[in-house]
Amino acid sequence: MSRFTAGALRAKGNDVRDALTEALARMFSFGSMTLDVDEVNEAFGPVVEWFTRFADSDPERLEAMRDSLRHTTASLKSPDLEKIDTVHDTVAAWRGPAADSFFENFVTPFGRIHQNHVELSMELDAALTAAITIIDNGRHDAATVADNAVEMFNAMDSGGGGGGLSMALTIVGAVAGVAGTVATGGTAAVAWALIGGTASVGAAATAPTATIGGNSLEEGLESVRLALADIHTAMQEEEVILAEALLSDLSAVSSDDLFLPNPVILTNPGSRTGEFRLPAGVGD
Amino acid sequence: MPDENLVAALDDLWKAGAIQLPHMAVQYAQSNRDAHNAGWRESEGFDRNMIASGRGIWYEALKTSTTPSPVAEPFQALRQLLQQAVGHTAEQLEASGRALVIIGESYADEDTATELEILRSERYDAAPEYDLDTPPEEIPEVRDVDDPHVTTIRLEFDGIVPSVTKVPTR
Repeated sequence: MSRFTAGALRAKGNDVRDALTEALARMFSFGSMTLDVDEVNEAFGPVVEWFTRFADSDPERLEAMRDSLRHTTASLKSPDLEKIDTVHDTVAAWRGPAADSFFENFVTPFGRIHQNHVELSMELDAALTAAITIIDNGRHDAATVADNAVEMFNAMDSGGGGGGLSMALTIVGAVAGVAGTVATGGTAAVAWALIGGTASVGAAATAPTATIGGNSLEEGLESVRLALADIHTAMQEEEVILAEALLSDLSAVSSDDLFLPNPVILTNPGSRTGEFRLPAGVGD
Repeated sequence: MPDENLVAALDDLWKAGAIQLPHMAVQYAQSNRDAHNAGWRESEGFDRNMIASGRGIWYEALKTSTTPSPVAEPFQALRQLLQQAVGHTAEQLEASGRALVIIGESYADEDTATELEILRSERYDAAPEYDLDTPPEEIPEVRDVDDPHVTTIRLEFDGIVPSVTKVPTR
């Protein structure tokens, strides 16, 4: 789905305002009496703002943040990190308490926390994708409201009435839509809400339907305003779902999942050599 | 003549401490810096104006306000957690590497040290041809969550019209 930019949303708002003005002009033209279109257009200015308001959010900033995070994920997936296997084999041969501790408490559990780092980075990526989707779907829905509003106002004759066009909001389910599966092949240590492949992300059961229509210009315009308010409400609800997913991550993840204790060899390594002894059969 | 087994064991330890762990530290340090950059102008990404919902006559002035999304706070907390975790790990990898080098040096007598020097020198010479690893030139500096963001001006041309954007420096 392509993005509705601020300009595109303004154009949609202008279309609605123009259709509204024209409908009003049709209703209030008696003989030689006509409406000053410019004046009416100006009076309906706020209607345009109803639509441009959807461009106040900044999905491009969220995308830039996601780009940075994708660099993080790429670094964490670098083949260079497989060098831990060689370190593992080397250190395994050394003996003594310091060597054993470094092996058991840092080198061996490294793979586990590394996997958690990768997954957390991917989880944040998924969160940003969801936040971007909420904005884009909200704008898309607003544009659909605009199209329906234009159709409604165009159908209104001097007697008023028209419309009854209904649309399902695509914004609903935006967060659930990004839920993926952790590509570990194994059992994830942390039950991530978004990429964990579980159905833990809350989603609205049914998409609310906004109806554009009314028996008068006022009713029709009010239906547009309410439809836009519904979209904002749905966006807020989706954001709450997303926020709850991230809050559940915060409580699911513990510092042990992400941080290893400092290896004992870091404490004055020069004095540790006696406890970091040569491999068997070497230097004997 | 130095003990061959000793030379081999110390060479392996040196490779772990001077090559393998530092290369891992480079990746981790860079991931920390990118996680830090992901927080540049973070709140702006989530701020937005919202139309107050509810009924009202159509010409009613819309109640709007700039509010941070409820996502902003937990997102930032998780991102900072990642940044701190990978930054901490980068420092541990770098320090562990240094420690292994020091430990190895403590086991090398004069003959062994000379032999190891020769091996390293040969390694550097053969590295380009055989695609051998040598120690990284430098490990990027780890950034704390409170550190300011370093930015670069990026100049792009669309035809002859330049567009200037500021981006966080990797």
